[in-house]
Amino acid sequence: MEYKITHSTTYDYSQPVSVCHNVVMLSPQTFGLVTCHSHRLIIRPTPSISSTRLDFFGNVVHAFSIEENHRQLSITATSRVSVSPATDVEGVTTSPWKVVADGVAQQAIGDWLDLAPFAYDSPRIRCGNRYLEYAAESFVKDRPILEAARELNHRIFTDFKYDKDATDVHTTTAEAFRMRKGVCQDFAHILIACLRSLALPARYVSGYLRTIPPVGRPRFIGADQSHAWVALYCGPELGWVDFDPTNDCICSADHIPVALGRDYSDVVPLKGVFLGGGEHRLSVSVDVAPQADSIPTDY
Amino acid sequence: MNLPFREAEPPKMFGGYSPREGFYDEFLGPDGKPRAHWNSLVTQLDRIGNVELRHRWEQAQAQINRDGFTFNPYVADGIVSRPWTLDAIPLVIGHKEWTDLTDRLAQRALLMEHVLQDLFGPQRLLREKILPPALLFGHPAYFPTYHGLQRAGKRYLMYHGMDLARAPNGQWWVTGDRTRSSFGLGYVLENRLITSRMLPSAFRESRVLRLAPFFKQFKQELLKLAPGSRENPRVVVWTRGPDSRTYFEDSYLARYLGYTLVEGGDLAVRENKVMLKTLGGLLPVEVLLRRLDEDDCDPVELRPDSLVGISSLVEVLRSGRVSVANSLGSRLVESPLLLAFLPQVCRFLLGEDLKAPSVSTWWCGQPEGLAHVRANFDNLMIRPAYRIGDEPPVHTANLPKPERQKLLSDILASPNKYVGQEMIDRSMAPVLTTSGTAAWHVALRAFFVSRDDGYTALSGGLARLSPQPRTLDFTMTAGELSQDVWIVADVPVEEETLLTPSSILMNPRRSGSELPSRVADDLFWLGRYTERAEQMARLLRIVFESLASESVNGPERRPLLRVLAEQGQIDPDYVVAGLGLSLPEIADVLPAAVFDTSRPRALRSSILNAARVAAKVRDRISLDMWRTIDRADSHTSHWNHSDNTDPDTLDIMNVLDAVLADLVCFAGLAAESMTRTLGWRFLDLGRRIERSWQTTILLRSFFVDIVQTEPMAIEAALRVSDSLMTYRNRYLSTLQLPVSLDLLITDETNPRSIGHQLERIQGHLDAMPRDEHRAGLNPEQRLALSLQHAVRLADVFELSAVQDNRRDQLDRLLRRLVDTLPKLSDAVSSRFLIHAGLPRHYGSSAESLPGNKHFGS
Repeated sequence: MEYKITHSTTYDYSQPVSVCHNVVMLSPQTFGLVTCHSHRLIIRPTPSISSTRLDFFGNVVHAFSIEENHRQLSITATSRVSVSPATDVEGVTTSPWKVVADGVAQQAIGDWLDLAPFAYDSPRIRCGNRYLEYAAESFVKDRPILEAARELNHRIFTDFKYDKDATDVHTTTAEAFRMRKGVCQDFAHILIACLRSLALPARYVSGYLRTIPPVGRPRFIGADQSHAWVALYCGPELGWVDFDPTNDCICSADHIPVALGRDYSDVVPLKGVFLGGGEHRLSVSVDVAPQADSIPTDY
Repeated sequence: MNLPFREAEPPKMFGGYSPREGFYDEFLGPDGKPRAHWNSLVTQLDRIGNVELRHRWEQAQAQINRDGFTFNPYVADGIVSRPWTLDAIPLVIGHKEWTDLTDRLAQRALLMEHVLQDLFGPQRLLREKILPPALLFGHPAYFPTYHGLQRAGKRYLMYHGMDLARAPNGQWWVTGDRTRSSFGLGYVLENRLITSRMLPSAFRESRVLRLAPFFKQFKQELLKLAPGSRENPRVVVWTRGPDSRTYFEDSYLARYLGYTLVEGGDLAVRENKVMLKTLGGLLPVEVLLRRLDEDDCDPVELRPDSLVGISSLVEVLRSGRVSVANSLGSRLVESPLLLAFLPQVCRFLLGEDLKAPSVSTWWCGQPEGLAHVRANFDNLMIRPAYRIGDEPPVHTANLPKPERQKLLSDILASPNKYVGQEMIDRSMAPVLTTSGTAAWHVALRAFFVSRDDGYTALSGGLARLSPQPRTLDFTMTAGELSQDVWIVADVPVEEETLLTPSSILMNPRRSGSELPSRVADDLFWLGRYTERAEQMARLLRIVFESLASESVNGPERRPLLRVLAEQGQIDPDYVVAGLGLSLPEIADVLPAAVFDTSRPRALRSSILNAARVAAKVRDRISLDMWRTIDRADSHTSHWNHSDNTDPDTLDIMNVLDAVLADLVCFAGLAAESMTRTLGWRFLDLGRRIERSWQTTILLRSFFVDIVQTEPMAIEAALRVSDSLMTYRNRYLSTLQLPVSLDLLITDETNPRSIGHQLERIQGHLDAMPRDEHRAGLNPEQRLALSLQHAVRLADVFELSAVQDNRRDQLDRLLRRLVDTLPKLSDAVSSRFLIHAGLPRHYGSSAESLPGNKHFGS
């Protein structure tokens, strides 16, 4: 499946901003099932300083500073990517989850060092008994990891209410878990906390999701959003498998990953600080346009 | 702790010293005689005698208090002092023994450097399973962004502190490593300074090795870190700020090393360089001696909630245009869990055995470690496996049962997060007591600084002592006493100091060092608060006098109360005649105007504010100036304490007199003992703006709509503005309004008049650094000039004229001042002082990441 993704963020300030320092992670790259055909990042006003690098996890990171007074900052990332469908996991037999966990802990699995960064607590995720108890119901003795993880993914989808107003970007995982509410970020953090509490390596994936409009309705341009889900290491047979607890599914060609990390804090799409600015207004528009489909983009 | 000395004079200093069985004694050998390296000190101390030593010790305490006074964080109504009392007796260690020990420890310092280079580089230690990945990835303060920051050939660890304990068999063990910014170097310097002054001949005769070579190398190594090849790279000491408990050390070190002490707010990244914000503009900084935790260094890439960091510092580090010592990530090797693996790590990285052992440590993250800890639970102390702050260990032996059970279950739930550690029965050394000397337990911190081929030890250290063997394990600040550590040589030692030798002539200089904008801001507010306090003290004194006077309701009472009401000091109803009857007696509410710190304009509030900002600029004002502020503070703090009954009017008037004397003294010192630098200008500018404002409020309350100008009211106004004497000299005893207004508004020769303030303000603004390319006046100059013109053009007879029961002209002029003075203050701030303001985070993701529901799947 091929997509054209346009992600625009605009800040309007009531007072001039004299300086800002930013870090942007909006650039998909060719990796795994994703092929990035082209990518452009346009920043206005033009930064006085900017740089591009790969971070520790291999994500593309842009850093930039603007050192002239500005009342508006706009960042537009445009990417053309294609995503191949993931390996069909139906019918694949995976190892019991405990075998995977022990393999990582005892450094017996071939790529244990690559898994290690995703096996411990991270800034937004503290493992603990409450997650362990919740997960234990699905992760019973000798159960194959894929089967157990699918069930846990489904239980989070069922037990937790999707609620945009219940949490914000600063809500802790523990709080969202207690409230049984949240958005994709919280769902992903909770699933990761459960999996890591079982000593399984799990990572946070940020990206986009193709939205399919109701039958007979046109697709609304710019009405899409950033999304987040979880990848779990399911043993050498399958490697990393992506689970979307917000939508109760295993990800395939509809999910377009951009960056991965230990939790949200590693992959924040746009972060930074600025001086001045008074009141500010933020507008974000994301458009995920499937290219193979003949959906008109110029309605 | 205080050591009271009573009459006691054993003939020999160490006559009553008795070592304790089962511990190594630093002082006495197995034969019961002093060890050879103590001989010289023993002879000297015996010569001095107990009485004289006690006298010198007391003097030394006074010196320490002065130092603390100069450097310690200021805490209102509380005392923050040194963590330990400095003992009169130093800890003596023989040169040869010290060299043997520190040579072995230097290997350890180098090893830690290699561990960091590997963990943030090729990770062979992890790959080859020498170290568990949990050491790095499980560390709560690990940031992936630390990878790739270090430039080839530069050290992670420019300096390193190691905590030592000596076991009964005489062997020194390392109990911990301090690699982020080792606490203690400042105290080592102070201990040495004081102790060598206390015992000058003993110091000389004992051939004590000097500390200076270490610090000389320290400076060289900092310079070596500088990127690029600028002739004279700028090095700054980066402190967390006056609220930090290391502030004393930070400022002491900065002064000793000769570097500017800065806070995060003084620095900013511009054009991918770190800049120091000064009044003269931005100056590039090449090396930061970091005295705060790495997580707090950059709110963009590290902890976003840090208020003390430099935004985008990590990006500058990545491009190699600034260096930080110690490097970001250095704290990773402080983890106690590393100690469990160190011998293997040493063989793997250095190809040799670890020469200086660490105290035996078992990491619960390993099955065999956990088994050992459980089996020996009562004989070990339990520590977090990662060192975050200064978490004390738990001595399991004396733990109540429920807590013991809880700790055990915590360990079993997350074994990775705990280690068990052996406890060392620490050696003992003599300390001075009331009756002579006694044996106390010793903890020693040694310091190392990098050199091309390894690390060099400081010939000295920080000794902490306690009568309780386990106390010293807790934290770096635990222990009751501290001692200077004397490494004594067999041969005479060379003199060395960092101060410029007096034989080298220095060129005269006119300006001080660069003035950071934040310091100018603090001086500006110091000027405003001290003036505000002075005015309030004078006003209150006159109000009290009026209340105590014979006339029950003098004509001056109403305008005086109105001035107080204008400042929110009393209920405005007191001013409206008649209404005041239902309120409490005015005399009962006035003490609050002096002491109640919940009122922003109360006298004590202004004094506390002055003390707060003075504390931040203590290295820019004289000790005497600081003392007057401190005295004003203590004079007004009295009735904040509950032990006393309410003050009566006489008490309060005494307080006001005392405070007024302090504040006038401060003003005098500012005028007479500060060089006319930009710093002084900002202090005076603050004072002038505040005084203009205060006089404006006074005149408005007194004369705008009270048209009966009773002589007593005029007299009160003249007294509040301290101009009565001048008036009497000129006009004798007839009190008239127009000439009074001349004296208080238009007469520029009266240092109390508004006209005089405006003239001074104008002068300061003209002397400020300015953009050479810009013609014309700056906004603040315009504002000051327009006020000055208005005042100069005013006619005092017109100002005094009454129309429709009010003085319209006067009102118009004062209103203009009331409107413009705050704008002037703001214009000065925005031009010179607030280079930055608080950085704010993009609230971005809150809105942009609400998540996605998959429609139709």
